[in-house]
Amino acid sequence: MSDVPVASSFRDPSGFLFIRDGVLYRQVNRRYQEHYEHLMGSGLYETLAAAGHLVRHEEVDIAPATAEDVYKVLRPEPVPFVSYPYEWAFSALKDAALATLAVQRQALDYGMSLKDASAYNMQFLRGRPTLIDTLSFEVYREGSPWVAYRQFCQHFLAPLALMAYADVRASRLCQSFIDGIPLDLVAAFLPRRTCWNWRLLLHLHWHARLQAERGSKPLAGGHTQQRFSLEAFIGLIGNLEGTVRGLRWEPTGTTWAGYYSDHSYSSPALSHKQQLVSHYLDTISPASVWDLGSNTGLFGRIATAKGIQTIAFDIDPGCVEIAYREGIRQNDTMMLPLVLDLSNPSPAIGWAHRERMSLMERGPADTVLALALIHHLAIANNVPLAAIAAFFSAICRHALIIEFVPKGDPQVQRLLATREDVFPAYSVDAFEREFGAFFSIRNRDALAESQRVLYLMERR
Amino acid sequence: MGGVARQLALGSVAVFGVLVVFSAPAYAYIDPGTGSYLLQLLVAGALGASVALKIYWNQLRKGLGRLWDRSRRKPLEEGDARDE
Repeated sequence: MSDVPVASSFRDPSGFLFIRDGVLYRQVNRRYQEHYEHLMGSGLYETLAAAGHLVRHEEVDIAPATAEDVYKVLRPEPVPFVSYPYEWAFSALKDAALATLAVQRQALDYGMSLKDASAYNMQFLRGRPTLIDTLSFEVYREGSPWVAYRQFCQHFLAPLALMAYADVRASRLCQSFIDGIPLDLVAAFLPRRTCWNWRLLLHLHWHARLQAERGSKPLAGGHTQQRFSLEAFIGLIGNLEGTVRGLRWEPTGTTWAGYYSDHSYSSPALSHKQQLVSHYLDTISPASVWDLGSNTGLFGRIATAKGIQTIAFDIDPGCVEIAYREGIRQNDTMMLPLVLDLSNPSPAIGWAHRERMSLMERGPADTVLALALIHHLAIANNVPLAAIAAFFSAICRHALIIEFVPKGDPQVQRLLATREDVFPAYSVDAFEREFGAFFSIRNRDALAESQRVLYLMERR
Repeated sequence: MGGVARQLALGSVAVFGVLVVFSAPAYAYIDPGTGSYLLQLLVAGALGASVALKIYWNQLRKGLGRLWDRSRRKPLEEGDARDE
């Protein structure tokens, strides 16, 4: 029996996560007993879990990871794929922010409050943002302001405001600042017109200035205590909800959002490719799919319709936004669309590079779908075919469904139009040879009305 | 008191008659941030008042709605003297 502590679970002394025999457990420390009993006894846990806002867990009777200070061991429902705020669509981050506030509002009704509001505590379960940290609650004692207000503003409000008012790609800043984007940076990047929005003026601009003025100095002593009433607390949460709801972004004008309507896909070619992908998926019946370069998730949706958990990655935040909204509209709980630049995938970050996992650490997927992608990697990003083949073999356990786009294709010609062709080795023969080193080709089908070829490959 | 704090405090006193004083943060494993704590205290009066106003307004609306309903129903329910 060897326990592996979860590297990101060290800040809160209430407990920690560990993995034993491949199963995730949460140890609850004695100091958290009062709060845990209130959470479970008051009905708050059941209310939140039934609404899908809080991850379910069961108490288990196993030996704790550490003997001292132990109160209980819980087995939480596993999250199929851990994702991070810098990978979420605008609406996904917005929904996660609203879910956090909904949890806080409900907690106040049951005499509890959130003691943290980290975006990393929210994960997408069955397509909806869910609080996964059961130990985030504390018994509410009227009189004090919200301890997690700063964290909420930095983790949620700051990136959302930047995405809505400055540039949607600003969510990538969350990757550089692990405890949320510093508010003085946000205030400097936001256009001045945001000062006319009194909620943003209060929660971001004035908040940033007060932080700068006060620094880490303790509150001045000698003052009589001011109570932050429950009404003020409820008002704060309502105000933050209004602020978040007021932030909007529409996916227009990004590179790929109009791809299928604007580009040269003839409908017979598109439907032939859909039929083949569907057929390949039926042949291999994968447990999970990573759809790389998923665009708006058209092909990934074929997998989710078959009940296959699918992570749809695309570099374009507009496409990912459309895919996320479409998932909500269709009630597709099997797809999670995420923003990912494959030429620079999410790295391991945080303390000792171990708090947030790299993309590779979160794999491999059972099956990888790479449609109309290879030319972007090989030609737009100059990655040799052998290196692409090695990368795909590292991120898929079982099968690869990949489309080869030859040099004669209009999309490749477009990439080569403004640059020298330094890719003499880019050919279908070289592609089959390099991928053949890692995969065996099970199916090879020419796509209708094009020079493209679709492959089903299995890892050697 | 810094510039923003003074402006907010004066605003709170002027509008809501709230005198702003400070309390120490409760125990927390994350740093609540002095500025973040202070900001909440400075606007506490306004936030509380907005919730109270909303409650009164909803009650008033409900009451007026009930009166309006009763006055509209009355001719039809003249024989029925029951009240809710």
